[in-house]
Amino acid sequence: MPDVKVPRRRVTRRTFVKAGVTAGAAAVLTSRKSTVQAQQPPAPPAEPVLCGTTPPVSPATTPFVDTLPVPSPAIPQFLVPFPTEQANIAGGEAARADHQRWLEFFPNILYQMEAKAAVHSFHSNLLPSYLWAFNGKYPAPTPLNYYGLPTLVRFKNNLPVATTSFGRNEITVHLHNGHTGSESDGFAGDFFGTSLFKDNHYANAYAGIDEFGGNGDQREAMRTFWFHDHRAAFTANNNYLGLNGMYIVYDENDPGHELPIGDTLRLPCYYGITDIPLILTDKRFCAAGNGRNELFQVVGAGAPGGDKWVVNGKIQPRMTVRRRKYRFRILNTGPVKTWALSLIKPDGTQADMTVVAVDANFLEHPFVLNNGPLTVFVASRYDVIIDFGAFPAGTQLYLKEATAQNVGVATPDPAPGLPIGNVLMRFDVVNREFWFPPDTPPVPGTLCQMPDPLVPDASFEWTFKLVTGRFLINDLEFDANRVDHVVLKGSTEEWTLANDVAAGNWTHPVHIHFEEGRIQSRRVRVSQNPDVFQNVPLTFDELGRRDVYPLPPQHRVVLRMRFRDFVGRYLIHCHNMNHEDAFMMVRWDIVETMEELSTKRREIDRRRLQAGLPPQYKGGLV
Amino acid sequence: MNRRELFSNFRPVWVPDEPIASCGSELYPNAVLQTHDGRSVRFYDDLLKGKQVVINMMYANCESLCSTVTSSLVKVHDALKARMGRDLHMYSISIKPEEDTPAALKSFAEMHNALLPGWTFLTGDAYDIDTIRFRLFRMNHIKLDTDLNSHTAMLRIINETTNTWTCVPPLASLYTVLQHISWADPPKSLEERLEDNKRLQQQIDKEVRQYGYRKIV
Amino acid sequence: MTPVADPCQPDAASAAPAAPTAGSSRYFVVLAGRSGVFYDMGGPAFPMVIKVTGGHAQVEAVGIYAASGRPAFGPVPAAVYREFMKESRRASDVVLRLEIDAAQYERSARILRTWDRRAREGALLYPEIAMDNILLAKQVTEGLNQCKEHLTLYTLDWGLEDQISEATPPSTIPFKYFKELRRLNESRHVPDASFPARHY
Repeated sequence: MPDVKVPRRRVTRRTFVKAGVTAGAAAVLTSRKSTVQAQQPPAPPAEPVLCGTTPPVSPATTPFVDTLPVPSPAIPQFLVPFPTEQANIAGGEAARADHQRWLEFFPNILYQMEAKAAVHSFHSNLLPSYLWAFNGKYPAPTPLNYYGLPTLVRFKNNLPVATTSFGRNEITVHLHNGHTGSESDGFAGDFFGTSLFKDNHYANAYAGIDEFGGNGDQREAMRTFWFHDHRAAFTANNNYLGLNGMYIVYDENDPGHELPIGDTLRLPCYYGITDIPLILTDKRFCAAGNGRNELFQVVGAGAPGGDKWVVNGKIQPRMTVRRRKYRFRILNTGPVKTWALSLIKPDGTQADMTVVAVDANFLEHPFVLNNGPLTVFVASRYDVIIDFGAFPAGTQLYLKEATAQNVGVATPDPAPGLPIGNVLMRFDVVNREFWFPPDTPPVPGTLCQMPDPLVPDASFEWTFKLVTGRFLINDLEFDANRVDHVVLKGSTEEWTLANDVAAGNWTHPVHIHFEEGRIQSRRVRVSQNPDVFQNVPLTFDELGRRDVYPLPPQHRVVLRMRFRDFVGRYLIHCHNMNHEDAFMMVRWDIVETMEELSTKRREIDRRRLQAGLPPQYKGGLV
Repeated sequence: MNRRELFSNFRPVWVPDEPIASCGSELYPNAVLQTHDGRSVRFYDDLLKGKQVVINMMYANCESLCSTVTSSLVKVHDALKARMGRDLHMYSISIKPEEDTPAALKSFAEMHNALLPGWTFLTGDAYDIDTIRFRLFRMNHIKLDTDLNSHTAMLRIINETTNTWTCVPPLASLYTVLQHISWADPPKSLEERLEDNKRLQQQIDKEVRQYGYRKIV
Repeated sequence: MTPVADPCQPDAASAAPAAPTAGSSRYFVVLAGRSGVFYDMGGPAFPMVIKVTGGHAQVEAVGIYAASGRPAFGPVPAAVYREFMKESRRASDVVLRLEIDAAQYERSARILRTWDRRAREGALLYPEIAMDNILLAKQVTEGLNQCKEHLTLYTLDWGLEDQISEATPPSTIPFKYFKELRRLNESRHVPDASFPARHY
């Protein structure tokens, strides 16, 4: 086979024909565009030249020369071979359990996301950079979905067989935070290598399918998701290299248009026009001498901290906005940085941002943020509405980040008290043309109805500790292969997340797969020996539903969540990707029957007793 | 489905003309260290270059933790003994080089039944040991990195030819430790991976039949 | 595995001053820093060890300084450290000058020279020089108290009580740390008037 050994010469089409392998058969059935490509694969970009081990200062970039790009909507495709309930091993699919609820949610819409090497220009002043991207685009195209229309995304691995980058060419893609069967959830250990693919089946149904029937409980609606590689121990590397994108789901309340039809909230909702993703990350660049400004990366060192702030793949872009309301879906793709964002007026004071959704979930009531930053931890999403109609045409507003980036070009402060390094992007307000969608009505006072308060069947605690350099979870070594907790499908549990890690300044954004949680309370240890805890008031974004729970040092967060509709292996982990890769991650399973639950729990306790630890379960559902 | 049809579904993959070179000496210190049997070796040139290695840090007077780790490593060595000294090497580096002479390391190794082929204990100058320790094990947190014990709690696995670095807590299960070491193995051919994939699916199907769910694999 | 001499006694060989008479040397350590110089509001920050003999100061300084507006780590050029030989009233500057004994001088100088060697040989412990600088500052300050309590130390340990590391980005930690040490050791600070060197 051509890609078995490293050949001495370039593999050409003729070589393929000689080897008796053609892509002809597949080419006939695929779309017109890929027919041409299937005959001769375009050469991927040359592997990057790395720039040593000392973090360089990124080259200077002039602010506001690039306009904000918006990732294009993903185009549905006809997939060959057609997706099947069972893994299509012979056809090249990675091994997996069967898709759950396959016929019930038979995929209507199919997408293909091909992970491959690409080059991308982060700024007009910079040479292109090598990265890994879905369909060669960074950020990836955005699938636009509708509740009630199940989808399937085929993730193909066409990453390089050998690379000088610090990425790992095996992927497993997680939709954060989809209510997804375990076999499609991107479990960290289910990665697959080059030339293979895996179909992720997304029901696009609300949680509560068993209880409510049909598409589930509409009060569980979620809007802004993202998908990213989740390969164990290399998540930070692969995400830094660009393997992520946004995923949006609409329903009758948030329909993907702004017309007064049906039960819509009439929020700004024209994707790419008035409804704009803001995909945030930080990067560092070097002059590699190969016609590129490569991303700084060091093998084995985890994702480096950047000194350039990137929005939708550009550094300090500008965006023309009309005098009306816009919606911005803010997404922090990490790998590590936390953002503290505020909108600044030309006079240096803060302008209103109305938060309507937290981690994809509408707040019950919108929250107007105007006297402090919006803190966005890794993997969190915030949908905010900004009303540019409040400003005259010609106004320039700035999205500010609390930590300065390295601009490199001496630029006066764009607004009093706002150094240029703290500016993420600029909004240029213009009058609305007649052809531009008219403004939407005021944001409604009530956005959604929360699901019924959760009554737990059981409680459980996850304690993160650091003992003589060993990261421990519930006193056991982190081990993503081991199941550390098991819950019964359909049950409700109250989980306490405790940060007892002795490193005083690490806030861990803890993420739980599968369902959203409701935070009940938060407290912090204020002194030790004896332990004294103090209650911490919940912030506005903790009153609704979340899937990323920031855990500052010595904090305890109590949350409730359910485990409905699917079974399998799921994860809880710190979403600081460097920590995640250092095994700050645990597997928990959902099982179907009480019998399985008892069996698995007995095994867990038996293992703990063997290690000299107290049992986790005191008998029955504790 | 015959082999021809099988591979016709794959997009042909472009492969580079030359093998991708390792990052080389730029990434690794090349200090002179002493082995437990009194030889002098260069860290990069002799110990790492062109090799796949498993490295941990310990010290001879360590209380319980290092002993437990070393016992765990003995089990790892046993599981991989066919490869040890050939295409896989183990190094245990002293984190207290002022105290640990080669003789002290040798007796530590003897005490733990760790005088095994392909497994070398090492010591050297404090300056060099610190450089190596930070290069391989740092946690990017000063409090943690200045606690010597922090750096004894992880195995670093490096494949210098393919530039792969992985790590694993040595006290994780043997299965997990071996799995992480295998992640640094030379990449397998597509044929082998497809075979592995087929076998994995068979295991998954078997578990589902037996337990009703995917339990272990 | 070089055997380590007793760190609490001055090394007989190196402590021998050129003038073994009553006009022997005095030793000082200076913690110097400035904020707001780099894009992230960090600035130069470094310890200096000074041996004053007969009015003449011999200075060694290693840490972060500004080179073409960017932070660099290594032996601090004389032009930079001279700016901190005299105190400044500006809030953006910090200078803490302490008199020390020969053993403390040697320990501190050894630390600086090791870091100088690391910078020259490309053997820094952290690729981010801000982190190296914090470690260097901690080693020097905590080393001063190794044998006896000489100055009131702020515990920079990322523990529950440590507010500086909680709230400050790494590039500014040494500056804040030095400021706090100055505040805690105001009475031990050697003002310009009491500093014996005139040439440096």
